Amino acid sequence: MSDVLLSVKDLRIVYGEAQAVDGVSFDVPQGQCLAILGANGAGKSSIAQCLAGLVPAASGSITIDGEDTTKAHGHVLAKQGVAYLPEGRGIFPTLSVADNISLGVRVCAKDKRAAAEERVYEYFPILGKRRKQQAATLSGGEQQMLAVGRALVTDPKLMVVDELSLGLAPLIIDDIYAALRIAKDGGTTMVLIEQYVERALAFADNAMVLRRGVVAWEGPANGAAEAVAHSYMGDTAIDTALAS
Amino acid sequence: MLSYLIAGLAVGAVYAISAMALVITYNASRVFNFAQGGMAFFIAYCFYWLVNDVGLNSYLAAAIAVLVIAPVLGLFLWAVLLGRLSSATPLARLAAMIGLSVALTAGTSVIFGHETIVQPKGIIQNSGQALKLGGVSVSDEQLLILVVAALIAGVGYLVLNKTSAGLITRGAVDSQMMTVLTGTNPGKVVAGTWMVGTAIAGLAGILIMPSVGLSAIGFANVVAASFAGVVIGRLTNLWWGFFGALAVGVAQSVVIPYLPDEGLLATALRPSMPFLFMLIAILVQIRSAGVRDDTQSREVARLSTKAESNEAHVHAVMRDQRGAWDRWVGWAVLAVVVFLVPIVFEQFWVGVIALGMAYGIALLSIRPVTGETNVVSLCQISFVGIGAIAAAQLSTTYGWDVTTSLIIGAVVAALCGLVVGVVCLPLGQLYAAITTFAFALLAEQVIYTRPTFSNNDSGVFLDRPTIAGVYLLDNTQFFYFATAVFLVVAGVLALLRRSTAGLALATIRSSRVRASTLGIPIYRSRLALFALGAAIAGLAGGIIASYQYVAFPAGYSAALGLTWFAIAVAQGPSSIGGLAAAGLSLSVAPALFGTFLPTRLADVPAVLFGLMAIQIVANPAGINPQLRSAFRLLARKLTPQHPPNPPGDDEGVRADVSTNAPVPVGSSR
Repeated sequence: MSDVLLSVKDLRIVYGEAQAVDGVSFDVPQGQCLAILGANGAGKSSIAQCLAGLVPAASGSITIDGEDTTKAHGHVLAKQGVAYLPEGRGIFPTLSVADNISLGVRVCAKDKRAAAEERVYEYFPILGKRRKQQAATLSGGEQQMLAVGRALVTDPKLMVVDELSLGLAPLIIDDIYAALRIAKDGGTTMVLIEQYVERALAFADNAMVLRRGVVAWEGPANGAAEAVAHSYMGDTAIDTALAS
Repeated sequence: MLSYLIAGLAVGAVYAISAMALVITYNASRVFNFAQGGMAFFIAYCFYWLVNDVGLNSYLAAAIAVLVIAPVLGLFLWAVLLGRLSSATPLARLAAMIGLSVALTAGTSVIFGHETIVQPKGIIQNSGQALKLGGVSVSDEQLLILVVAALIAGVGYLVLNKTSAGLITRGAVDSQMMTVLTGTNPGKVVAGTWMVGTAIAGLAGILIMPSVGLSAIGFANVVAASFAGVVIGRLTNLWWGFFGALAVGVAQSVVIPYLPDEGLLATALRPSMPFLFMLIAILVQIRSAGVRDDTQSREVARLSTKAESNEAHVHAVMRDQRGAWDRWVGWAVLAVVVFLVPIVFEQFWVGVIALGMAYGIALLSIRPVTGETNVVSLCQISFVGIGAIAAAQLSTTYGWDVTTSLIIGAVVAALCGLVVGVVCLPLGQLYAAITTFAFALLAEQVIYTRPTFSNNDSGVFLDRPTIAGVYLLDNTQFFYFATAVFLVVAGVLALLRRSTAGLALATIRSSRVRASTLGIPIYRSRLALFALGAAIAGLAGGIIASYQYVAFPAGYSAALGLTWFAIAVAQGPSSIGGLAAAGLSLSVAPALFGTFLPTRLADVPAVLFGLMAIQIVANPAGINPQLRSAFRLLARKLTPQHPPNPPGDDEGVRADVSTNAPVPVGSSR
């Protein structure tokens, strides 16, 4: 097994009196992808936001590339190579496509920014034709391309992707996953949170199923299907379905 | 006409600069700078002090004031207050900014002196003719203002659109979360924006100083005029805001040749123009795409929901701490006070306390408006003034009985409240605050200045009432009268909250969507409450004027209204005891300071009131409920075995919270 890039130990996340994540631990080796799956409210997005430094951890630890980042702020993590693609569209809606990309590559060294900007247009040529267009006026797929492109070209060491395919057409999802595949093959470690389970399991190396904030199952991605069904539909529903 | 146009452009340019500062800071922080008038006043006074007391060259003084003092002030305020406001409820944000405005304005007077400097010299110390344009002479001051405005607009455009700092700022305006994800600390962006915004506001203050004098009200008027531009720009569009405010200044000037020599139009049209522009802009926006403000954006709504749930938690903890006997302590204290005040104090102090109770009635008007409907109304003082004027006119000019006049005064104020409510209730909380403040300024400049009402600035006589055959000449009798009226109004408001209508109002307050699905008439209910608030304020106005024997319109200024709002919110806008304490503070604190301390410190109470309002960020329930809560905890400890809380005796849904936990100040739960 290769070196562990991301290590999460006994993570707890609370909102007021509600506990969203309770004692979750996992490791993601360098260059691999972990899919975090589970029903709504399972705590997937809370973990993603905590990894990106947007939500504080109540307890536990997060280590990225050997460095404890549990209490690091989001902007510091972004500079250290943690790229987070939030649920919805991770763009600046009133800015132009070019401005979005210019802001996105600010985490790169100054001399590499221009090249990084051009790489976005190589990944997604359609964005090249929309440089001056306001981001909010792009189609949903183009907005997601912009968000993914903005993150990919910074060559992050860890990408945390939250609900990438939400509301997108399958062909667009193919394009975006193809871009993610290039990054993964290039050595980027990924944490993928996805409602589109089949797609996520096909892409990821390992999977973890969350249920009400705790780990219900973890293992290789190709063996996760049944655990996911239990998580989404509940044990009784599955048992009833199997019995009939 | 050209001369009027140039004069209008010069005034409008200052409005435009001021509007620009408002939009810049609002965009970056989602905090509307109600304190901008106070900031501009402070920085202009610093400039004046540097020139006249320190002896610096005026250009150097302006540079120090705008480029050093103003940014440091902006940074300091961001560090201690403004940076914390983004996670506060919209009401707490507004209240804190209003408190800051009151504290800054009064603090400036405490630091630099109480006197109003009528015609201070500006950056150009000996202004003369700079050039002739189409036969019209343009003064040095006018030319300077126009050049500065053009420079600020030009530099602003270039910085925002052509530099990376501008790009980051525009990004932060769009989404703070996304700004974080691009490796930028949004706190630094917001701090920088406040530094720049304060500097621009200060520059506007220095430029307008020779025209309006060094008076807080002059600066408040300038900022209010720029509010019109900000509303035209929907709070966020820099250039619509800039040119909208410019248009207001130009319009105010170019109408001058067409005005009649005397009459209502002659005196009222120009001061009304910002309000008219604002009204037209709001109507156009409602017709086109609806009016939105910060409370409706998704990101802010999420923050607000979190802050509001924290506040609800604080209230729930307080309700759950209610003991068996301690609830009667407040009434016992009141009974003792009512019994002792006339015995212990001299007639002067009894009168001061009686006036405090009358102020308390006025502040009770905030409970139905802000406490029940969540509307920030900054014109309650105007309804107080309208009630006072109407009662004085009816009683003294038309010979009506004083008591009847007081009641009719309340009705007149309620009708005015209906009109204002119709305009501002469909708007968001921030828009409502802006429009009600503009109405307060409008009332001050248009209604109160009518010769019939102002009576050459000496006010109109209003006698004290005769109740049950007793003429309330004595201050003690008036104290009993004011206290009785306070209790009746408070009782009505308490019963209203516990009634079925009160339950409907609580539902509206909690969620308008839920209320509409239950068939509750939202708009009508809120409008009725707004009118009720205006009626209470109008009644209080008559009582205050009757105590003072004069309806003196200058005593109901918009700036004073901000102080009233600040102290009321600080004590707790829904707390009857808190509003009584706030009313007494408004009367007793200035009397104490005026009697026992030098005149120079006369504004210290206002500074304290402002600071108290600011602390609402840490204590959203208000001081009075907080003290009550502490007392209840003490009562609990002193009671050996207290019975369980009876079900359904509170004013809302009981939360499942620990009953022995102290109230979390600034709870982040």
